[in-house]
Order: sequence, then structure tokens, then C-alpha cells
Amino acid sequence: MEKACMSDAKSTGSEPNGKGKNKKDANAFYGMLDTPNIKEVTFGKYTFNTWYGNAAYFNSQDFNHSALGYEYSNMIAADPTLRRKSRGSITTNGDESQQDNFWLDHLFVCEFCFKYTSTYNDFQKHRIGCTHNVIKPKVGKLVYRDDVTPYYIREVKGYMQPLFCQNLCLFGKLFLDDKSVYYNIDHFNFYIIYGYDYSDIGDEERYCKPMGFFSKERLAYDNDNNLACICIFPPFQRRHLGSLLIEFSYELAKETPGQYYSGPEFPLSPFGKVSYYTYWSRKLVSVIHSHLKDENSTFTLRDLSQWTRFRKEDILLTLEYMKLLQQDQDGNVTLLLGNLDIFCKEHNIDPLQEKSMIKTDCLLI
Amino acid sequence: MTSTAKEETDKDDNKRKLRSKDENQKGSNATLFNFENVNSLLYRGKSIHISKDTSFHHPYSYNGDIQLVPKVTNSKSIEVQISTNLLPRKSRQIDPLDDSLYEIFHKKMKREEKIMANEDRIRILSEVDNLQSQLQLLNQYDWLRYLPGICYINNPHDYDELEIKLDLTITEITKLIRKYENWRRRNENLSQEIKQFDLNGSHDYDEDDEYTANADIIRERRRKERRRLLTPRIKLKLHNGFTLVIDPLNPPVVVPSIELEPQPKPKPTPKKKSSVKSNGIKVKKVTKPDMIKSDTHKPRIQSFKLAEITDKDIIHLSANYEKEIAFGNFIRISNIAKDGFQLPRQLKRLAEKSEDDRQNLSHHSTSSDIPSSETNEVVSLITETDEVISLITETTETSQLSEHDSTNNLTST
Repeated sequence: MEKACMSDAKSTGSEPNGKGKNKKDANAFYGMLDTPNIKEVTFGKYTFNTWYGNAAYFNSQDFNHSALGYEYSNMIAADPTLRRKSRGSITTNGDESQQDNFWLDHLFVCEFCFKYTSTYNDFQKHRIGCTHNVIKPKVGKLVYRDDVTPYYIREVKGYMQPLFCQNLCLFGKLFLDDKSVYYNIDHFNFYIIYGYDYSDIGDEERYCKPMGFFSKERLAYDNDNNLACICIFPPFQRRHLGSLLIEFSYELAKETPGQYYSGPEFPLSPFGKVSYYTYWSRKLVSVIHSHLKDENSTFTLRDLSQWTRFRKEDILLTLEYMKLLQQDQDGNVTLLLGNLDIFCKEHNIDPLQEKSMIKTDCLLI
Repeated sequence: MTSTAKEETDKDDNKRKLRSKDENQKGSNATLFNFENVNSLLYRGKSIHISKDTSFHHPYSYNGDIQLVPKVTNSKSIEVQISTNLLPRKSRQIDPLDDSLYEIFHKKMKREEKIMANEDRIRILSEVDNLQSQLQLLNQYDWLRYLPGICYINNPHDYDELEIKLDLTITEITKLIRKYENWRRRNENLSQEIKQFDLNGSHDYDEDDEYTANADIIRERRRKERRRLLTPRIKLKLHNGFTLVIDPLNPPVVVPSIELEPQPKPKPTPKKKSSVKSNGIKVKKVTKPDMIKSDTHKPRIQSFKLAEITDKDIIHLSANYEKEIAFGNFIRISNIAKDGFQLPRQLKRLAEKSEDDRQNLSHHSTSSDIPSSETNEVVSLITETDEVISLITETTETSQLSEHDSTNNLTST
């Protein structure tokens, strides 16, 4: 709320921001790259292309990107003289890496604990012994339990499971454009959704696998951020898990002090926009339909905010996106119910039926 | 496009650029607060009319053109290959990807990220420091000298504007400082939590039955645990039959005390119920304050923090300024005397407040009857709605709050 207020009141928008977006500018977009730097990733039994680059898998001193960050660091730790040698050879390998944009051809990531390696054999050996490879995951705390579908959401505090969360962030970055924290995650909570992978063969008992996650910053400077980043892993997309997690994030906000009105951290990624506008507009359709039927009456954004628990800014954004508002010359604003009907028709929304992915009786918050 | 047309648009662009640049400069000059273009829907609670019409002319646009770029069929391929390679047999081999493998690198990276985060914190601190000194200047008698350096002023000779802007700026700065305070508190709590974890480990995750137990039982257990960790719910009994409830999860509300009592007692008949007509305003006297009850609440009031109860996102531009400010200071109208009779101070204040309150009568029970009491001070709080609610607390309480009074939305009267 105040964020936007500030950008209104202070045209420079020089508000203190805990996430340090400005810092990133100065630091050459820490972790971010223009193009993917890892060609393919194998996640459990799935192999697919990465969407975005992630420099944070690599050691910044390893100019040739000769190895993954941990390999390089371990190597240097074992023999410090290697550092000089690798610096000396930048130019020779520099051209090569220019031609081939990928720093690494293949990354193997454990589907249970997100540990990563560039070696297939290590990956395979690890998978069978992975301590997270259990029928029902134990990491963190169960906060959503839907035994029917089944889907489970587990809350993992960054400082309690640092390696797990760091690896999760690193993997998530391959499918997120804008992400800047991978290692210093003490002040983040992670909410990981687990479910059955229906492509698993065999009669043996099914294993719950992580399918996506969202993170929530506990020290966000804007305390009304209920979500920092959200990602559903490619093999498990199109299951509406994103909507489920978004709805869950609002439920969680209801139990978080200071988040009576809340919303995601801005800016939204293109995919975040699609998910959020869809979610917000559906909810607003049903709220407008049930509360604002009377023609010639008035309402304020605050009213809508109270009914939905969305921030006023998010509501205004959505109403504009839905093209429901009209402004006359005197600056008076009108909500057009006719436009609402058109929006519903175009987007196949039945205002009488509020679609919800989340089952409130499954919440264990 | 012909070259001339292009030139023209270029010129246009230039002009526009210049103008916008100019505006920006005014605004960004020493990062001035600018209240000129505040969105009235968002921050002034402006109401929106409802109409059954359909029209796509003159759409309201504040956020600019909103386009959802990726239709789900996007360039990001989600082609996934499934490998059928079976996993090797379970063996007692050592995990090649042991935690220790990542230790050196991850530690180093965490350190680097921490340095970046610390730089951010330093920036925040210096900004807050700056705000604090600005606030101090604005609270000085010669604020007039400093205001134009802090807030964007249209006409430096318009005293009304200056006064309004002074108040807005102070409110805004206070809000930002409070935001920082809130962040600092959260930071402290989290550090404490982490320290505790490092020392004792966590009892948080000891639940073995989370997949099996009844959901209601788990929810109840966790609710209790959360209540234990959160700041307690504070019920501040006002002496007018209402109670201020400050819940860590919800905005503060004022509700009739009866609603909170488990078994409604037989109605105590008010000892005195007189209505005084003063200045055309009806003031009801309700039951005398129950001193014993209020005493029991005293210790709680001590821990009561204003930051939690005032939520402030409405900017008041329509303050009754001309009435309340003279020579740069808040004063109350001093001449409500009638027929040579000077009203008691409390009544004077009520008289001023009741105008607002009467408007809100229909919406909120809280502002229905304004009691007067000889020993009490009236404190007006601005709650999350933009209404002014008169609450009565004791003088001692007011003095606790008074530290914030001059700076907050909270105006001690």
C-alpha cells in the first residue's frame, strides 16, 4: 500500500526496499542472465530445457565456468594455486564460451532434495539414497493436507533447512526471470506443494514429489507482501497448482500479523501477471456480483478490499485490466456492470460460481 | 510517415519530455514529497458509482495499459522427456552428493549475499535517519523554513497550502518511520527465533501425526501455539460502553462491550442520563466510568503500542484546517462560549468532533453517542477507515500516547 503511495508522493521512489532491487542494478543483476546458461536439466526422470539463466550455480571467480560453483570452490580449497592458473586461461576459452552460450550442457537435479550435479552417475547414486525420497515428505511442517487429490503443502523455514531451500531456489531460478536471493534465505519461508506423479509406473506405493513452491519473505520491507516468488516445475504444469498456491498464500496471510490486506511482491513476471489477474478478476467478479448489484449506489476500493482481503492497488489494477471503470471529464469514476457481463462471457466466468482450487477444510495453518 | 510529420512528433515528444522532465525535477528535487498527484481512489477513499451501462469509451487509466503478454502457449517450451532408465539397486554406497560437498561454495555465496543485504539495510537506516531529522525540523516553530525543502509546494506564499502540506508530510514521514519500526521489530523477532533454533533446535516440527490426526485437532493445536507466539489480543474497555479490540491479525475495532461479554449481565440502569444541548449538538451522558474495571486493565495498556492501532492509509486533505491551526500551531476554537458561559474543555472538543461523528452515525455504532466525562480526556484515533472515532481513555494513558501525538494521525485533544 505504502509502496505505491510513496511512488505517488515521492516521485523518485527512493523508498528503502529490503529486497535491494537497486542494489541489483549496481551488481550486474546478480544471478540473472539474458539467456539460459544451462542447456538441459534432468529433474528426476524428466529432462527439459531451462527457461532462464542462473549464474548463481557458478562461482563468480570461475571466469570460464569450467565447473559448477561447488566443484570449483572445492577444487580451489584443495589446491589454492589453481585459482591463478584458471585466471590465466580466460582468454583462450573466452571465445569458446562466446560461441556456445551455455555454461553447462546438462545439470542433474534430485527431484526430492534439489541437490545438483553435472555428473550423471553421482546423480543416479544419490537418488536411490536420498533421504528426502520417502513416501510422504517429512521436511518442514505440513500446512495443507488434501488426502483426496492428493496434494500436500509443506512449510519449510529457510534457516532450519538451509541447503534444501538454497537448492530449491537455485532450481527455481531456471524457470523464473527475476529472482535475486538464493543463498541468504534465513528470512524466507518456503511452501512446497507435493503430489502424485501419475506417470510413475508400477504397483508399488506412490511417492509424493515436489511439484512447485512459493517463497514468502518474513522481512519484506513492505509487510503486506504475502508472496515473493512462485514457480511450478515444468513437468507438473497445467494442473492449476499455481492457482492453488496463490489461494493458499492469501489464506496464509490471514494468519500473518500485518497482512490483513496483502498481495504478491511486485513487479510481477509475465506468468505471474497471467496467474494473478486471472485469480483476482475471478474473485472480483463474484464479489461485485454479490455486493454491488444496486445501480446508482457507490462503493470505494476500500470496500472491495475488505471483502476480498486484496490490496487496493491490486484491485484497481485488476478493475482496469477488466476494463470495468470509466472516467468522466470531472474525474468521476463509474463501474460499468455491462462491461462486467462482457468480461465474464469472454473469459468463461460464471459470476454465480466462484471457482476455488483450495479446500478450506484441508488447511492446517 | 513523412519527414515533417516525424519532425513534428519528435518535437512533440521533445516538448512532452521537457515538460515531464520539468515535473520530475520538481518532484525529485532532493526527493521531495509530492501530494499533488495522489490517486484519489486509492488514497482518498473516493467513491465509485455503479451503472448498468456498457461502454469502452474513456476507460479509467491509472496503471497504464495492462497487457497480459504470454498467452499460455508461449515460447517457453515445456516439452518434457521422460527417461525410462531404472534406478540402480539400493546399495549401501555413500551418497556422492553429501551435504558437505556444497558447504564451502554455499557458505561463500551466502556471505556475499549477506553483504549485499547489509548494504541495503545501511541504506534504509540512513534514509530513516534522514526522515527523522526532517520530522524534527517540521516540528520546530520555524518549520516554514524547511518545508519547501522537504515537500513540493505549489505556491510558497499560500499559507493554507503550507499548513496542509505540513500536516500531510508529517503524517507521511511518521508512517514511513513506523514502517521501519515495524520492520525492525520483525527483524529482531526473527533473529531471536534463529538464535533459539541454533541453541535448542526446534520443537516446531515434532508433530508425528500431521498426516494422520484429525485436521481440526491439528488446526486447534497450531492456533493455540500461534496465539502464544503472537502479541496478545488487547481489549481496552472504554468508559462509554464500547471496547477497543486490538488483535494482532486484524485491524483494530471498536465494538459494544456487551458483544464481548460471554453472558450479558442484567442491564445496569444508567445513573444519570441527561442530554446537554450545547452549540446545537446533542451530547448524551452515559453511565459513569467503572473505575475498578478500568484499573484492572491498566497493566495491559502499558504494553499497548500505537503503531498497531493506527493504520493510516488515508490521506486527509479535507481537514478542518482553518479552524485548527493558527500561527503554525494547533489550537482549538476558543470561543464556543454561550451567554457568557464558557463550556468545559471536554465539551468544546466534543462539539468539534461531533460534526464528523454525526455523519458516521449510520455506519458505525462506535461514533453514535459521544459521552462526556469529567475526568477523562478524549483521544481521537483514525482507524483503518477514514473516520474519526472518539475514544475515551484516562489522562495517564493519554500521556503515554502523547509521545506520538504530535506526529501521528492521532490527535490528542
